[in-house]
Amino acid sequence: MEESKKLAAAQAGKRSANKILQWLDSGGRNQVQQALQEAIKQMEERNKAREIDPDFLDRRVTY
Amino acid sequence: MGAATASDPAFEVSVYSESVLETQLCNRDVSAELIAKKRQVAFLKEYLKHIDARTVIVEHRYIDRDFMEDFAAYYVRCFANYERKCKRLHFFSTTFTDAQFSKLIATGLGELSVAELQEHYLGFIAVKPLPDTVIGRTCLGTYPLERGRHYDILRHYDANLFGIPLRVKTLAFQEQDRVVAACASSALWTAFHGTSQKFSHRLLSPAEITTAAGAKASDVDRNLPSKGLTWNMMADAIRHVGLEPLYLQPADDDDLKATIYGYVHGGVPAMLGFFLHDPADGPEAWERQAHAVTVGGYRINGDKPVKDKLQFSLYAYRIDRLFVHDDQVGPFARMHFDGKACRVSESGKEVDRRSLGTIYDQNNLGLVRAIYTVVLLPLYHKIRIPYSLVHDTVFNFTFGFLKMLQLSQTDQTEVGRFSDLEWDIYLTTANDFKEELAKSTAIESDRKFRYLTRSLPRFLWRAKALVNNVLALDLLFDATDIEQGNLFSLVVEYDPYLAAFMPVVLGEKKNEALFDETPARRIVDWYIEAAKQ
Repeated sequence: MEESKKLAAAQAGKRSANKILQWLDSGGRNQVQQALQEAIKQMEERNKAREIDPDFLDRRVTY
Repeated sequence: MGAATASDPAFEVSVYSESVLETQLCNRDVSAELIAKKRQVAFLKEYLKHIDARTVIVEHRYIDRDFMEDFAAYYVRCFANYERKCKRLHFFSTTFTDAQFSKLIATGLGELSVAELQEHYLGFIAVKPLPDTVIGRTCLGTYPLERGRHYDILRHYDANLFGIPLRVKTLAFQEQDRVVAACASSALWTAFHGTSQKFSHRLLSPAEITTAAGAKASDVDRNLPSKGLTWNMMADAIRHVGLEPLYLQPADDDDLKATIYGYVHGGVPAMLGFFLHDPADGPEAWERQAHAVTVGGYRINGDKPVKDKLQFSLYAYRIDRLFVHDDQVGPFARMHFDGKACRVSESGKEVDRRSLGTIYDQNNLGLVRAIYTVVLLPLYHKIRIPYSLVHDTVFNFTFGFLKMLQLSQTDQTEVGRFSDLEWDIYLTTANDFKEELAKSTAIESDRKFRYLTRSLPRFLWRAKALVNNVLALDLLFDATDIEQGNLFSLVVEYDPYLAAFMPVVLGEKKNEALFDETPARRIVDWYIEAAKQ
């Protein structure tokens, strides 16, 4: 990436960060946390499907 | 024919053909008819055609260490008289004659050179002198690294042919002999070939693996002849060589791809368990057909990010094939992700099970299904953090990060750019990471210096964030830590937007609780700590 583009992107990043900090302070933090709770639920469902039946591990692999 | 004696030659050189292969696989107990029916032979014919085999040298009296161990453990004490020496077939992608090869051995001169043999060496098959199960240690080079093929578990195998040093880069394969080894022992044998150099442990023969696996199993009957191993016995064999077994059960096809990729790309072979379902056997037979194979590679298909049902995108989701050492098929045999469920009978009810397509039926690819179950990994004892924990941390972090951008509506351009964020998560080492970072031109020299001179744990989980296939961010996790530990080692931002954005937002103390109760909390903690320094 060219230096001028890098600089412009970095400035955009800083601007966005400052706007987001303000937004988080004005109630955005709760919104993100609520959304994350939904993500956690979905993840827990996946983790349930990852649980191994211990009896399975005592079955012979014979084919 | 090369002499030891005229009537008992040490070698013979032939133009390679399928019929030569079949003939050379026969022995006094195995007819050509039986050889021609073997699935492994059909596979090897196809394989040798693809890697362009043109000449074969048959080394008639070859002592194979693995077979010798198996012979000593079982066959030597049989009343029947089994041979102890193998044949070894060496394949070359160039043409030469018996006379040219003989002259090379005798004089080192002539039209054929050692360099030409070395350049065109494709590898070897040790042929065991057993009834039926003749395919012993097989080290054949891989298909070319094109069309998205990746083989991450390769090592060098050296062969010395009458004083000519030859070398092939591959992963060894052999079929089970159904006496000292069933499929589980064969899968472990291949996996140990993948780990022995990387993690410094002794290689075991199939008989030694079966014996080690059964040493602590008090509730099963005799080890040899082997009736197969349980997964717990396989885990005992892994412990026997000083490694730690880790079982994982993938939640779905995407999880299977990501889990396998995470370890295999890091150089750790993964053993995949499945039930084989052949519709011709009826809907109930599958549960009696438990099988194990070793994954040594995969194919990446496509150049666009693929999202899962949680809208999370992983590079591994682009995988559409696994390359497995399946002792019932051959080395680097394809298994397909085709998204097809498999309808079978389970406890009297019809159910759809997740499955992969196999090449068991050469005339009807994908018909015989692999209903996958567990993944077993042989890990160096210091690799303690499982893939799933890193996945969950990165998933939560991405979810929170994108939500911040979307909900705050601060910058729609960036929302669009990062909505295609793709993660590439795999196990690596500090040395490999630093070698790659040293070559990067995307970050400033002072940051690069700081990261390269920073002390990092030997084993790392690396999560690379890609935006439009360009590396934007690296998250590095200490794979040697404990699960409840911080385990987060380093962030490297390559994308200038992220390099400016992340420390300001995540380094802000007020945002400490933003990712509370999620694994992504670790990343925020790291930024807050970094902001203090």
